[in-house]
Formats: sequence, C-alpha cells, structure tokens
Amino acid sequence: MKKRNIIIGGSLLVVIIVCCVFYVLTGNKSAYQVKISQGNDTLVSGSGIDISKQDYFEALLDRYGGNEVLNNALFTIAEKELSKEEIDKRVDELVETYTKNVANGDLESYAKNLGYESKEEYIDEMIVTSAKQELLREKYLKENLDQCIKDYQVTSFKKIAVDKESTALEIIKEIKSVEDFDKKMEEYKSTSEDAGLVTKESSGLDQNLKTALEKISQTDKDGVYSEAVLLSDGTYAVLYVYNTDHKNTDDIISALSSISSLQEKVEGIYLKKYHFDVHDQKLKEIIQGISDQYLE
Amino acid sequence: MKQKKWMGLIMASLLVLSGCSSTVSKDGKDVIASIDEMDYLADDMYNELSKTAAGKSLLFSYVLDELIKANFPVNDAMKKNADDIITNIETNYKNQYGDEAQEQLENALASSGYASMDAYREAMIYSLQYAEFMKKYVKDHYDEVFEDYYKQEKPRYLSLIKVAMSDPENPTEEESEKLKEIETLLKTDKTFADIASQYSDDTTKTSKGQLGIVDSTLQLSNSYGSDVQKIALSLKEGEVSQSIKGSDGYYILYCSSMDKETMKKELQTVDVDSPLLVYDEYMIYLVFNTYELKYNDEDIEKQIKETVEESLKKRTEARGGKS
Repeated sequence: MKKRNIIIGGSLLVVIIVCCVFYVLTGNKSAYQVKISQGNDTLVSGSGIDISKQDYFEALLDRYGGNEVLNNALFTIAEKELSKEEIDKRVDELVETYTKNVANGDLESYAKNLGYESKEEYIDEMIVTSAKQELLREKYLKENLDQCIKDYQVTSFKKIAVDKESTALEIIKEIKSVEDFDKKMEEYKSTSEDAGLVTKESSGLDQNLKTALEKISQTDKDGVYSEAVLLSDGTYAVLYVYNTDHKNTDDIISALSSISSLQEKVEGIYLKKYHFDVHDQKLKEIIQGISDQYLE
Repeated sequence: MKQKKWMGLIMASLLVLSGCSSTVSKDGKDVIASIDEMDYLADDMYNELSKTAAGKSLLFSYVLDELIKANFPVNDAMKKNADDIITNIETNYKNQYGDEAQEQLENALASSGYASMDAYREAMIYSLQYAEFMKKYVKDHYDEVFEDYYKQEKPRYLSLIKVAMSDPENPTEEESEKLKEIETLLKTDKTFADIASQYSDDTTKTSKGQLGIVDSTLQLSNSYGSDVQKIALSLKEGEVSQSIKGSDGYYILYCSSMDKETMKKELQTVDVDSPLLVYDEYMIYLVFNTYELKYNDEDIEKQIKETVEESLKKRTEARGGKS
C-alpha cells in the first residue's frame, strides 16, 4: 500500500513537472494562446520560409491586435448605447469635415493614397469608428457633466498680467463689471488675453494658474477673481471669470472630449459596464499597456 | 492523511496551471474577447484584419521580414557591429551631456520610437540583416544595378574647400580675407587639392578636400547646407563652383571626374555604406521578386503580388514613365 501510494504520488509529481515545463515553454512564452481555425495551414513557403495562417495572424495581433479588439468592443458598445440616426448623422458630418479640411476636397484620392481601396473603405474603417467613439464620449459627458466639470476644473476667464501685486490688487478693486475689465484689457493690451474655456489638462496654461485652477473653478458667479495670481514669470494675473453657470454645454463637452485621460476613463467605464474581457494573456497585457483602465 | 495532502497539492497545482493558460471557445472556435453575451471570434478578427489596408501592407512586410531573417540570420559580426555603434553613441552622449547623458539618451530613444536601448540594438541588428539582403542582390546583379544607379543619380567625384565662419551672414575681416585668398589662388596653377590641404577648415583637408563619390543619397545638406547640396549635384566635370554660403562658413566645390568605369570599379566592393543599397527606394521589391515562393492561398498570393506590382508601378512613374 505504501509502495503503491509512493508510485501514484511520484507519477502525479512527474505530471505536474511536465505540465510546468510545458507551460513555461508554450503558455508563458511570447506566443498567443488564442488560435484560428486551420491555423497550421501554410500560406507561403519556399526560400527558407514557411508561414502559416497562425503566424500571419500573430503578426497582425502584434501590430494591431490590442487596438482592433478595443475598437471592436467599443464599436459594439456604441451600437447598444447610440441610435443609428445619430451615428449616421455624425458620420456624414465627419465625412464633410475630412473631405474639406484633410483631403482637399477629394476624399477618394486621399483614401487611395493612404492605401485604402476606396473612400468607402476609408469611411468604414476610420470615420465610422471615430464617429462612434466621439458620440460615446459625448453621451457619457452629457450624463455626467456636472461631475466632469468639477473633476476637470472647467473655467472660462480673461486675464490681465501686470508687474506688481499692488497694481493687480488695485485693478481688482476697480473692476465692477465685465465692461470695466474689457476697458482695462485695452489698457494692458500686450499682456491681456481671453483664455476662453480651460481645464486642468489644458496645454499652454501657466503652471501656477493650473495650480490655482481648482479654487478658481469653484467661483459660482461671473466676475473678477478676488485674488491676484502670481504667474511663473513673476508677473501677477488679474482674472475675470465668466460662464460660471456652465450653460455653454456644447463648448464644455467639446473641450472635455478632447482630453485623452478622460477619453480613456470614459472608454474604461463603458468597457467595464459591458464586462469586456480578453481571453488571451498576451493580448490582455498589450491592452493593459494601452491603458490600465480597460480591463478589470 | 499524507496521501490526501498530496492529492490536494496536485489538484491545486493543476487548477493553477489550467487557469494560467485557459482559452475560451464557442462552437469549437477560439474566442478572443467578449462583451456580455457577445463573443469576438479569433477567426472573425483574422478575416477582418487581413482585409484591411493595414493588414495587406503588413502581409508583405511580414513575408519580407521572414525572408530576411531566414536567409540572413543574425551572426556575431552583426552583434559586434551593433554593440560598437551603441558604445560610440553612449560615449558621444557622455561627452556631450555628462551626468545627464543617460536621461538625454533615453529621451532621444523615446522620441525615435524605441522603448529602450535593447529595442534600438535589435532594430540596428535587423538593419544589418536588411543590408545583407540588399547586398546579395546588388552583387548578383552588379552591372545592371550600377548602370541604373549611374543613370538615375549622375554621381560625380567632388572635392571641397571650407572657410569656417562663426556667422556666415557677417564674416569677420580675417575670414573674408582668407576666402578672397583662396578664390585668387584657384585662378592660378595651384591645384584644388593642394589649396584644400593647405587652407580648408573642413575635416576633408587631410584627404586634399576629397568627398569621394557624391550623389543625392549623400546628404551634404546635413553637414554643409542645402545650397552646397544643390550646387554639388549640378557641377560638370572639371568645373569649380563659386563660393557658396552654407552652414558654418563658405564652401567651394570642384568636380574632378564623372568617369563611369572608375566609379564602377570603386563601388564593386559593396559594403553596408554603399550608395547602391539606398539610391532606389523601390529596389526592395525587385529583390523580393528574386526569391521563389510558393503560395497555398490565392488571396494571399494576390495581395502580395499586387503590393509588389503597385510599388514597381510607382517606381516607373517616379522615373517619368521609364523603368
């Protein structure tokens, strides 16, 4: 009995060791686990090469797998979340924009120059995908606008920069209306600007202003900001904050839509909502490399 | 009791192993990803991706890469070559940036698309394999390739004299005097070579001003400015240029020869720096066509052959309709 148990235990141990070795050699290498049908069929051979269908598939996965899986998932989600009418409308708008601004009026030639068979192929592969991704982001933003405004510190302001803090404080005291501020901007023409709508992710925003933006964005009434903000070049900014009611929703959604961290966050939220999962370890790692927000 | 422990350990191990390498399948086909109840099959992804413009372009590149790797595998010489290049780069960065060399190098690699120096080394080794791939074709078809090169590039032997200037827009009196002296000497019987070795401020001074064979692949504009490049390729045999304002100074060029047979002999030792490997951006498709391949899939064969044909068509169009 003892001998038998030893033999059984030993055999099973051998099985485990063999499985471990097999796993190390195959499952944990750079090879993909997922296989296509007739993957061993040879596509091209001769002159020292032998390329199978699976080989070509893995080359496609290496280059495009992560993005293709994500695009497909978001594509499917978009069709569940959006109506056909709004998708078609956005596609038409984008086709017009691309034709005019990118393709110099000739989308067919532009598409062919990029390697597409026709403009229809380009529209299907690129523009429809863009349209759906844009609409999905906008839907999320519309449904969660107040929180996003708060999280991204959405603010609209005009700015006058002056050399001395005392000058800045004097101006703050003087300003009673937007007309007063606009007049003062004329006086300080070379150091004034209307920054428009900014967020904490806006590029080109002075670093010190970015730091102060959290407080500035909490202003709930249009008017001159009560503090002079020391800018990184040593000058002082006097700010007039406007659109504090955030009724300019289209502009806000457009600005937030272009923030890449928000894009990732929104896509991650939708992917998790629909229990997106990837059934190949290597591909999973590729997608996690694209963003850690896409998978649970 | 001991046996139960064994069994427990074995079952746990098997479970862990199975979990680490699990695939999901539907009707016997692997599922690559899923959303709620919807499955995205690997087969569907292959069918979609392989039909896209990007997928078709990748197909040719992939087959080409496999041909290169199979026929010109990595060898010790390539590895050493790559390592030497990297050592030189690291030394240059250390000399230029001191303590910040590592950071600067990492930034430079990242902006060129390399995740690390290892990735760059790999790319470097591959480029050496690629060069061997092209070299074999050029050597095997030398006469034909050289004739085409000579016709397309109109190469010439050039020499150069440089008068260095800190601000070529506003030369100092001394700099202007030197330039004038050289221009005067060029009107005498003193040879260009002797004037270059005596007066030139360029590193080619040690070889009497000789640049060697110059064609459009040799980017003179990078070292001397775009005007130097432009005039270099227009000089006739025996012609000396006017003084040319370039980067860091003024330049005078001399075309000593356009002799075809001399050049053909000189370029016959095809090395990785040979202009014959790079002058024709479409040559890779000609090289590809010399390899005998068997296609077991009609669509794949069609895609690859179309990629090659379209590229060779562009080659003909770029040459004004003549191949």
